[in-house]
Amino acid sequence: MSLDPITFEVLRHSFVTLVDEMGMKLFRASFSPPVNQGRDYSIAIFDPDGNLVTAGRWDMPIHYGTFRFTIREIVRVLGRENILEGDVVMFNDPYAGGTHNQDVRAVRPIFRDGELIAWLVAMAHWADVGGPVPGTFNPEAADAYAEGIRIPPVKIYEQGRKIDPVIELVMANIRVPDERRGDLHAQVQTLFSGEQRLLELADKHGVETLHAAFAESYDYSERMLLAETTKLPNGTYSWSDTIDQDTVREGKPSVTVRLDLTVKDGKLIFDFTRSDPAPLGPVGSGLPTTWSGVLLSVLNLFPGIPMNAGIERLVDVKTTPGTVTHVEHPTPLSGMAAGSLEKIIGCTLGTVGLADPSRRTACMFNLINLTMGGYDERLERPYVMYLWTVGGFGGSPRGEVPIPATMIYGPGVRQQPTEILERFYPVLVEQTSLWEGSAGAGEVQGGWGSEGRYKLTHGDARVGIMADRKDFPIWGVDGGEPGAPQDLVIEEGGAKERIVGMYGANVPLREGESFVVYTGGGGGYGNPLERDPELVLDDVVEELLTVEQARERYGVVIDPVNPYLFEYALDAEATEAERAQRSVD
Amino acid sequence: MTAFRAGIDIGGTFTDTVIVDADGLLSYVKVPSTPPAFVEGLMNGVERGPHALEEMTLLAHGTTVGINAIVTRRGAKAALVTTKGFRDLMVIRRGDRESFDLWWQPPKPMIPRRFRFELDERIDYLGDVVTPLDEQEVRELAARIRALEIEAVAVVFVNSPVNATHEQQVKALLAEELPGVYISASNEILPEILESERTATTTINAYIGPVMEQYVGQLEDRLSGAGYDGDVTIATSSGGVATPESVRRVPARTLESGPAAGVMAGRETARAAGFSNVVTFDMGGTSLDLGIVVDGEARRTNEYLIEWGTPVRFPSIDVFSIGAGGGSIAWIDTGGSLRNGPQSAGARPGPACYGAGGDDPTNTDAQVVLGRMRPEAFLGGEMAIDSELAGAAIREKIGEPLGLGLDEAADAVIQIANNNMLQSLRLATVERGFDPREFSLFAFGGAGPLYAAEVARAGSIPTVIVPRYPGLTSALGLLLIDIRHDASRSILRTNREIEIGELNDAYAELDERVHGLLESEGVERSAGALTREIDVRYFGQSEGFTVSVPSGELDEEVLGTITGGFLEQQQREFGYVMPEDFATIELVTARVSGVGTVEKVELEQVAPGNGAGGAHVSTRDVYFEGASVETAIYGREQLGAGDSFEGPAIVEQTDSTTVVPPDTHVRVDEYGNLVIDLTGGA
Repeated sequence: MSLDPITFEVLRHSFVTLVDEMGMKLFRASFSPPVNQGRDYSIAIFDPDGNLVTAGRWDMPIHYGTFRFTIREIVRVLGRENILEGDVVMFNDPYAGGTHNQDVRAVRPIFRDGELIAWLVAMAHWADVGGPVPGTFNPEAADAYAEGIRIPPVKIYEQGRKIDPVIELVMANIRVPDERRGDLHAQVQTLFSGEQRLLELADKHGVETLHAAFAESYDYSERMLLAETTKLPNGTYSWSDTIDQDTVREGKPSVTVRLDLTVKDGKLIFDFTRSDPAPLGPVGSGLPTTWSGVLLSVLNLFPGIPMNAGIERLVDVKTTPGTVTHVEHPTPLSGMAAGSLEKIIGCTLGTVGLADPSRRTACMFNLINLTMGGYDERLERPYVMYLWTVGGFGGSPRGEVPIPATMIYGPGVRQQPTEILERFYPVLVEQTSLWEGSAGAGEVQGGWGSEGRYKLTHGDARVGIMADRKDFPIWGVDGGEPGAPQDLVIEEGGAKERIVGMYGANVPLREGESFVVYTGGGGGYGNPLERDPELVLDDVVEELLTVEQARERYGVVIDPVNPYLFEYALDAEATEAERAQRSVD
Repeated sequence: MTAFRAGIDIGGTFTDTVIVDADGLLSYVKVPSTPPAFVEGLMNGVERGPHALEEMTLLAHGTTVGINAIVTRRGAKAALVTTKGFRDLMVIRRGDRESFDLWWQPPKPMIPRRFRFELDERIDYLGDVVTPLDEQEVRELAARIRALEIEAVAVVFVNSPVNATHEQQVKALLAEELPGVYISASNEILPEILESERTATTTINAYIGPVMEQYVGQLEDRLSGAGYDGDVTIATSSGGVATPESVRRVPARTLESGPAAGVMAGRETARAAGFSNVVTFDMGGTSLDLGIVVDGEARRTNEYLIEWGTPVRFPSIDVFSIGAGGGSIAWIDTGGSLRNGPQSAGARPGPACYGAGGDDPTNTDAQVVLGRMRPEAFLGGEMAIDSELAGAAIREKIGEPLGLGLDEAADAVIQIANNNMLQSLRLATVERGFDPREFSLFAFGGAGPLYAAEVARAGSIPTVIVPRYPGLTSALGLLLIDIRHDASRSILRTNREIEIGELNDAYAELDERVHGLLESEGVERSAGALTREIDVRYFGQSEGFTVSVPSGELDEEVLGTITGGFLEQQQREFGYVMPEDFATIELVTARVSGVGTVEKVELEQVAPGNGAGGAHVSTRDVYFEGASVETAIYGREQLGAGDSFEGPAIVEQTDSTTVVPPDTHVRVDEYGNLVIDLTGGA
């Protein structure tokens, strides 16, 4: 059935509104701070065959790559004939269609007149799913059993009847189960309201029209992406990016992700088969997450294209099982985001930038998963604080790099406010600001990193950090310099400090000590000596660069006329001489 | 001498002035707005009216001065004084981005980094001083701010809603050291926790403060120079009006002045006609503003975004705005799909049919092609419309690429526009738990009545009301709204921790503040005029619901009422409540609002009609639902109370055109409103 363009546009927007409505409901009703403060959730509609129709615009796209696996795995495990009207399936298995165990999906098959017409998914990051470490992230995990509970597809509702024993089996294995019951309730209710809305659309337009609109959505996104990718020259482009360490293997060696991107007539084949073998520690990714890294990079590099199965027609991912981008059970993977995923993103930016210089973009900071756990004597309860930080994006030929933001795989992901953190946890936020001098130099300078300083005010605590890019650089491109490397430092008071670095489990923090998290600046793009001196002057005036840094990094000579009134003068002659001298050197 | 009152709606393009006498008789003037010197447009409008300024007793107006200063970044040279470690909060915000796009750029901050100063002070979440304020450091900073010739200062310290001492000390010291500089302290503007939102709101207030002061000063000078000694009021975002003096103190309260006044105008007009559940549908050249009225009360919100990443956290009328207006441009994207807006042709060059050089097809062009807007009827014939140009734009940019005929292409443009509006309508109603079938759509603004009936039908709203003067409703509405003030403060205690004394203290303080504000506007103290509310959520949730609180001294029982009210809303919107032994409920923010009733204009009634036949001025072909249909054209002026007719029909009047689709029934009520019943047909 072919669809007139107006009906299609109406339905396409209706699908978007549907997932937005569902997402807003989950955001407001849930109890996990990662969901209701951080927006680590996602909503999706699938066709009966498990193809993605629409995903939420502000949802966590780290789940995008899992979508192609989720429904198929449910059908494979449960059997199509056992999928019944009124069912809800729970599922988190990261090897078969998930990301890490904390991301728990609730899935509802939607029936009309006995026919399966669609699926809805409501996914939420639960603050804890068990295991030896509060919050479940565990850099020292030697196998999957140290990363909390793994849930294969299992029904929690059958034909409308809730199956409490299954839910309680899960709840018995995780921390703070009451809150998680609230989260699950919110997910299920979100599915119910989405179902109602989808059935209204089916009543109004007919199932056949609905399905035609699903199919046209795929064609639409495919056409939009193809219009961009056909401009890329055919060829194979290679890039590699490296994880600082395999946290569990002896000697903690680095692990490299290698990508060969083949562009053929607008199709993009991402081949990771040359990557290193799977690490022993939890820094590799399952195949679903590797797909996510590719898809979300493509969406960021070609903005404005609605995410659905049509994009997957132009994108293929090749991996070898047992390598860092395709780890298999029981290899642990709870640190997949900061480890492998970020390197997959780096390789994707690198190769697409080789194919299309107008999209060439330097590396950005790396996700830092930071947790702090202990007993809060003020509120008389144990706590797990989970922090995200903001950092610099990479320079590109597309103009100055904006303010620091959270990682690229979550435009909607947000930081928690200081005034909430201090109430919920025994911390005093001493600083949350741009990290002066951290941006990678370049004709287009990388974005600014950030500097966050948190003081533990009551009791002792244990800090966990799962991050990366302290040893291997946040690289620049086309002559741009790297951004400042990331780090975590504990200040003991006075001038004494302990350097923790980017990997640590159960690092002791004593009452009165502060930890300082340095999130990296972005890499620069192009030769720093070609940067417009006026832009360098602006950063000096804004107190982001010192006069010395302007000279060292950019060969720009600035006279501090009256810093008290922010009066600085550019010495054009001296700058020209300095730059000429450096070019000769 | 007769007392005349004027309602003045200052838009980005036009300034509409409506003048009403004691009998409710009405005249109006439309003049161009004069940004950024908005006072000129206002004076032009008032002076061109039929009555001398000395005869007037009230000028009520909505202003775009504040929002204009923000959009054009022509606010004050401002500084921020904040807690050590927090100078960059204004740009880091919550760390989120608007969309997938590696190269996305956020709006520029209103205060550059060099003018964001830190003081070594700190108060913890309980209000205890961790680092005391150093007066010497403040005075040194003041000297630097003076030397930099800063015009306005925002003072925001972490945890000041719990203990405002440091902010107040700094404000006092700066005021002493910096005469003439506009100073806003966050505890006076918004004493609620969430430092990012509080910083944004306080910064905006400081940024537009001097601009607004100048505007109000000029206005008062010009008016007194012209011999005016009546009252002046300015609409606020909360759907009330305030005096220039209180607007000077908190100008950020006027940012949504126009749209909020529009919702209140819709509410008042609809209420007079007997409709208490209404969606207000205010559509002009560039945008559509939707508001919700439930049981006669406009829905409010406590936060809205003035631009990406810049929340303003004041109690305000909940207005949903989208870029859908008469001038919105239709276009085809790279995937080959027909789109509509949010780009607008604006007033210049405007739609293609204006003949001012615009060649992009707009909604107005599509309506002209479909025969719904008659070229010669536009603005009473004051403005020339070229239907050939409209047709050419639609044909070339939409019809030919999509392989559609002219009528089909124009129809497609309108359908896409309608669908965009429908999606917003859904977000405003269904998503909030309101059943559209229980609402009427109140359509106004120059373009509202052209689109309202079709959007309402698609959104399952059974009735559309088109007021007598759709294009003037907002201006008229300014004469129908009351003085209103709000105050709030953080509570942040769970239902297990809270002691009733704390709640009584909080409400006593808030009551006093609102009474004080009302008294400063000449409103006498009367206990009944205050409304108390409280924001409530489950401990751990990020947002919750607002529940009403009784007035007077509260006892323990009120806690049960509050939690009961919360659970009821939680059940209604989310479909479940938590088991009681788990349910720690948090009381978040206490709120008080007060209304000072002003003397209202009586809406004019229309004379009974003699049947609609006399108003049936002509017949022509108009395109509806896939075909041209012979359609009756009615003159609005000639319709009287009690007249009725069937759709399809077009109703023409100087300030708007109403499209009445097929299978509908229209009656004219005693106020001259067209009441369109959509339940007749499909």
